[in-house]
Amino acid sequence: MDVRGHLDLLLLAVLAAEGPVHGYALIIALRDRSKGAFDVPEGTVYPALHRLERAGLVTSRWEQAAPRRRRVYELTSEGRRAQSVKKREWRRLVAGVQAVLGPAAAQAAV
Amino acid sequence: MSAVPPGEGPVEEYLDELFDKLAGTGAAGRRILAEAESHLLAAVENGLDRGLDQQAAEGDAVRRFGSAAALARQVPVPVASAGASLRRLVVGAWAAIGLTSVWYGASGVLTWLLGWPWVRLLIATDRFGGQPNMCQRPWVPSKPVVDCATQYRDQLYLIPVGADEVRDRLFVVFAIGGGVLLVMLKVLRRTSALGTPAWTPRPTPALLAVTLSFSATALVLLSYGAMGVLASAQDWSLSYLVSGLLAAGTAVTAGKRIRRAPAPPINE
Repeated sequence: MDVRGHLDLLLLAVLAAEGPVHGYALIIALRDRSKGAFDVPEGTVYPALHRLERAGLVTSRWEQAAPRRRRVYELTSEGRRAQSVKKREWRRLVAGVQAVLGPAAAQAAV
Repeated sequence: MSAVPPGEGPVEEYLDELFDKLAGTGAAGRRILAEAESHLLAAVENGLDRGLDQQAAEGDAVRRFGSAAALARQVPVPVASAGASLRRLVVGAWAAIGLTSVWYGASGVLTWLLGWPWVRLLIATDRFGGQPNMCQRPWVPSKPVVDCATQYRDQLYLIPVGADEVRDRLFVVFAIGGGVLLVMLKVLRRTSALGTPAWTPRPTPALLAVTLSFSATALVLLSYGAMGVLASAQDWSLSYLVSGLLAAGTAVTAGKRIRRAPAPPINE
């Protein structure tokens, strides 16, 4: 499934749920939480994380964990607020789309 | 089970390729490279735990990570130095020269191809009513060595300006030469450092420049072309219309691509 355009919200949501986490674990969590639906090219997640960091929504640090260094990502307080706002926007969008498509489409999607 | 450090397998090859493609991206590129290595080693470790052998685990990790070129394209290039600006300018100018040559040459080729039906239309309609009896004297020589349609066709301008000064069919050289330039650029961008972000003009301003310049060109040429048609279908009007329509098509195509250009980062 193509998640372009929604990747920022998905990453913020996973970080909010998982807490501080390194990139690989974040991608695994994204795949597991979506039950395999969001099986994105894993490399694309890093530029998205860097973008969120430049926007001040995420912070990161190198962590020495055996057997190698890993970059650990964490939501900032601004990131938490942005995640709540984006989540509300998403729910409004979904409600609007479902209202247009009708109950049959909503049931089929379940 | 622990992954062995990458040797000459798929992971090492991938990291080498990524390193090449990240040329000119500075600290952002170095960070992506370090994170890619850490990620791939973790993924290989995971594959080994799932029972894959080293080669298969590395192949699977690389496949899941996605193409190095696509990843490198998403890495921002640092604020432009004079050298970086010059590199992007070189590629941008190369593309612009190729595109303009193709447009100019293709206009001539198309006008040449459309020349016969256009002249027959003019003869059949007496230049849309503006020149009765086109194939009779005094409009054609009394002892023509060629037939009327051929004579009128030979008078057609094949390119908008200076048609009488440009050697016959020089536009074919422009069409082919411009196409060769564009193909060469595409191949080199796929196989060399020219494809890295450091050499890539920013898509939105570059496409905007193409859209605006070709839109303005199209507007002028189509206006002149329309005036030429209305004024007894002048010999130059077909070339203005053809080149104007091609310019308009180029502008529309570039304009559509602006919308598909990568969106700016959030909050930036």
